Amino acid sequence: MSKKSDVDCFFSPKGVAIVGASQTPGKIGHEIVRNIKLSGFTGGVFPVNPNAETVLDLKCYRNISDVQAEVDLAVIAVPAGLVEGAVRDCVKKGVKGAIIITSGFSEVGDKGLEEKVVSLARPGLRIIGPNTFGVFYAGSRLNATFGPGKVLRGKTAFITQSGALGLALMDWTTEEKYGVSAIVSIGNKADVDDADLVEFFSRDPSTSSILIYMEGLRDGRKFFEASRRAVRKKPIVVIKAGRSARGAQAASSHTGSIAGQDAIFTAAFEQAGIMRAEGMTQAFDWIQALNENPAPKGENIVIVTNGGGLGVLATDRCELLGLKPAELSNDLKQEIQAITPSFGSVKNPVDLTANADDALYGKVLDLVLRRSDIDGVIALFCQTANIDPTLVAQAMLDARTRDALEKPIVAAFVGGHLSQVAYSRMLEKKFAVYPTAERAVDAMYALMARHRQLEHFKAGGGAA
Amino acid sequence: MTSWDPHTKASKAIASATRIGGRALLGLEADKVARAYGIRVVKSALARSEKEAAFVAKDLGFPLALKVVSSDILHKSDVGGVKQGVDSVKGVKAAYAEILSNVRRARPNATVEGVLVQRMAPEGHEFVVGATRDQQFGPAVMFGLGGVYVELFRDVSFRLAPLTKKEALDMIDETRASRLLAGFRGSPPLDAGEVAETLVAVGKLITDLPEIDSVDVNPLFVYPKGVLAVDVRMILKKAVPS
Repeated sequence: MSKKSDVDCFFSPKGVAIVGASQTPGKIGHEIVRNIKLSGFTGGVFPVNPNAETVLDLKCYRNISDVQAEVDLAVIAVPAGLVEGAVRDCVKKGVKGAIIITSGFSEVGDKGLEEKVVSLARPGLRIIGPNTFGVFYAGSRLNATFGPGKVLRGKTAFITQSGALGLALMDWTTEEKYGVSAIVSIGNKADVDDADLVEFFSRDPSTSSILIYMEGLRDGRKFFEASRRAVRKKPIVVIKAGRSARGAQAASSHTGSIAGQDAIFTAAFEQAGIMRAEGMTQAFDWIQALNENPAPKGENIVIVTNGGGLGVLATDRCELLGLKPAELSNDLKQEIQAITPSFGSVKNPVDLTANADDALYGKVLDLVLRRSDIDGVIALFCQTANIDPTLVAQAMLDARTRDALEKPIVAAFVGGHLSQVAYSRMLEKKFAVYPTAERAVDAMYALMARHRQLEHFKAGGGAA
Repeated sequence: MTSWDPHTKASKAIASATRIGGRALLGLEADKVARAYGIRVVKSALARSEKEAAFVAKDLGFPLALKVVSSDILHKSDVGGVKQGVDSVKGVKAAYAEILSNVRRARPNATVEGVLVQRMAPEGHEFVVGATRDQQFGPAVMFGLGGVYVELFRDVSFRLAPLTKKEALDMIDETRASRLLAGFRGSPPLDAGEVAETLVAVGKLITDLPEIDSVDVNPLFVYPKGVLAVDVRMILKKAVPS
């Protein structure tokens, strides 16, 4: 069992050494030094390379042991054959964490070397990797990766087993204006694993949700236990890539043979309260909704739309996902009727009809957000000939501000260029907005799932 | 630990089974382990004579089924080794004698350990409860539609063990078979609470007993009130510490 604080050094170190620092731009050992130097990290930065005087104007050391100051984190980017020696040096220096960037270990079949490196490091030195692109942590402005230098700061910690996916995501965050609190490329998980990181991020004040891309686990039970404790504080969304049927092979009973493939993973996630997304789109849709909204306090959802078709699509999707559009009370119906054109339908979905402008959206959203018998709002807009989507977007933003985020609200803008402008503007303002009605409903589903979880915990359920 | 402790009782039963070199716990041995964990198993006893059969019959009640017990005989009914619906002491004696003579005629060389006298369970809806060990997640419990339909429909759900009653009820809800429990097409609702208790018990059993690799309770008869395990089977791990 690892101590509570022994992965902290990866995120808020006092001093970082880059073993294998390079003077040559484009080399991994150079890009890491550059990213750390430019990211605004305020701790010590110590390039280590016996053949260089300086790297990027920083004094370079022959060996990590030559650094006089405290070094609690080392980023190791030397060839595979030199990793062993580098780890020994780290242990001697009293370093607490090493990120081993180098590849050529268990991922290419060399399990022996990997195990040897881990056993050299124990018990004082924790290892992330090998075969990782590094760690980004917004809390200490530490970008110890060879990825993009600029990463947008946000509320989600992203743990990825795929390096390429993580690197792509670092760029994507800036492009989509959707930030992260941390990115950990977890590599081969020779030592630090998903469970250690879930535990850390569950108590990290700059993280409000945890997103994991996972291919496999070494210790499923440990991950299960860590996750079921963490979800009491923060939602966890996992994208789980294919699982082999290996487990089923040796089985000699009914139960054993049926338990193969994905069934146990699914059950463990369900039981721990982990939300399993089908893919990246769904995962980010959920995370966005969860980060920008409180969980609803009850099950009553109202859909507000300017198009009947969009309302029907949303209702179908609600039914499929087990969401219940609320039965509207008579006084709410009367209140809405008073401000909507007489041909509008005062049912749920509330159809404001194609003439609905920003003023009408604003008034109706105020009405439903104020009601104690409504717990969440799905606001839909499809582009019409005479209404400016950006004005409607502003009306939604204003309504949310007036409500002071008491209730969750998600939106969809369906249409051409102007709708996309409206969509981008809302995204910038951290509004959970989507390009289709179905995805907005999916987002509300994630919020409702969180509500049900929290109710379950309140009732004394789940792990202690 | 007292003899009331389920772990102690179960371990004794397992130890006696491993001594005779079994890889599986069958019949009475599996029943004993299951009962130690509070699982409701159909009543049965081993009889080694006509007299013993009559004696245990009085204790078990009627109707009864009698089945030959012999490790040399796999298909008991093929050799006339099974009698069902026996409903009197006189009938039990007659059935015992008839089974032995049938078996002797069909398999003169088989070693017969005795006859299992089993209380016949009233017809119930068939479900399956099981447990297995996953390489990554450890002990897990399964629930689903039972009998011959397990393999056909695979209408099952899983939870890691140990599990709470609430988690057991959740996993029941995940299956389509849960509609049967709720009362399907005018039939009365079945005892989902007792099914959940059985799942919790099987979860505790596999968590407590590292010697056991998997458990199949199939079928578990479920009634409007109560449940009854009709067939319990446990597979032991290959390397059992002596």
